[in-house]
Amino acid sequence: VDEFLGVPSADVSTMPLGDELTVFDASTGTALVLNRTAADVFALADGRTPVSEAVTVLARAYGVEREDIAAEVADTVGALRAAGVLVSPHR
Amino acid sequence: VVELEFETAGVRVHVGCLDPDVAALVSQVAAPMLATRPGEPRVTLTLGSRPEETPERAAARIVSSVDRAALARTPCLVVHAAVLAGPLGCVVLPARSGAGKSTLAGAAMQAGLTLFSDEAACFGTPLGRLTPHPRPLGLSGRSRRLLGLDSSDGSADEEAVAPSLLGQAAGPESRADCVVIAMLDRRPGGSAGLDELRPVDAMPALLSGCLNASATGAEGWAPADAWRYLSRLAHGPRVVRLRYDCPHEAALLLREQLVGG
Repeated sequence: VDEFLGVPSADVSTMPLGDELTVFDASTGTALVLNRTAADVFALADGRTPVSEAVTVLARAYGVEREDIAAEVADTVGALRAAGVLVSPHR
Repeated sequence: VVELEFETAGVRVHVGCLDPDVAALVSQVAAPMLATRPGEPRVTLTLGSRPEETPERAAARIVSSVDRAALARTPCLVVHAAVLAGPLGCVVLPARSGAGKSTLAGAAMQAGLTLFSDEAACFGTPLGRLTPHPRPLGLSGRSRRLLGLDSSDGSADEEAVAPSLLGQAAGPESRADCVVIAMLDRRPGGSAGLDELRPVDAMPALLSGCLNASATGAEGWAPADAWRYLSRLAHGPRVVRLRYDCPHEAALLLREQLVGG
């Protein structure tokens, strides 16, 4: 299991939209709209940040307990990977 | 052959109509799309009647051909949405087929707004500038009755209704800016109301409603360009949810947004 967030796909372009982010994947021609949590996860995805650290950083930023957002962050990472927006840095 | 010149969605379409009666019907039902200035056509069609086809059916077929040809060749980014204009600008109502766009557009015309389109928001430059595509409104029997139009044959089928029967439509040279994007939320009961939304809330409907963005790129927009345009666009206008049951009530709310105090 990859414990790191990963990195944005090279095919992905982004544009901020308020607190959210729109993402376009040129390889598939699909666009996504990321909510605030997903946008923040995406912003932390530098290839070196583990998922657990992202949970800590975001819990602090949102002023909530780690366990309150751990599942949402994990689900978000899974969804971004499934959509091809986040990929392994070793790919 | 009766020559008809249309200018709609920013595209000039020349039609050679072989039947004068059908040409007269086309001119009547699609009057707002007729060109009002000289120019060179980008598309030329020659269309005649088919055997056993009524003049009304033939006219509808010709108008549909003009509609398709214009949207296939327009330089605008086309989003599946109704567009109504008032003195302050346009409201764009993005929605899938059958969501009530045309009925609401008809009610808004009856309330005094100007039809840009019941089906296709044609975005161009500068960002958010809309070009009219006021094709005849596609209205079901129920919608026609709701709008008080004659439905003498009692048909429930969708029919093309001339905009002039409902109010005013924008001419080919009109342009106006999008100032409101309203997401339709039709639900039974309750009075009409507006809820403020975030720009991002409009994005799924705008992106999924793109009608001329394709990866092949032969005609229309490249998907990346469409995404970039719509992402920038969403920052500008107010984005609201329009809750309503009665289209006439909703139309009055829309008029308030576009006419002002």
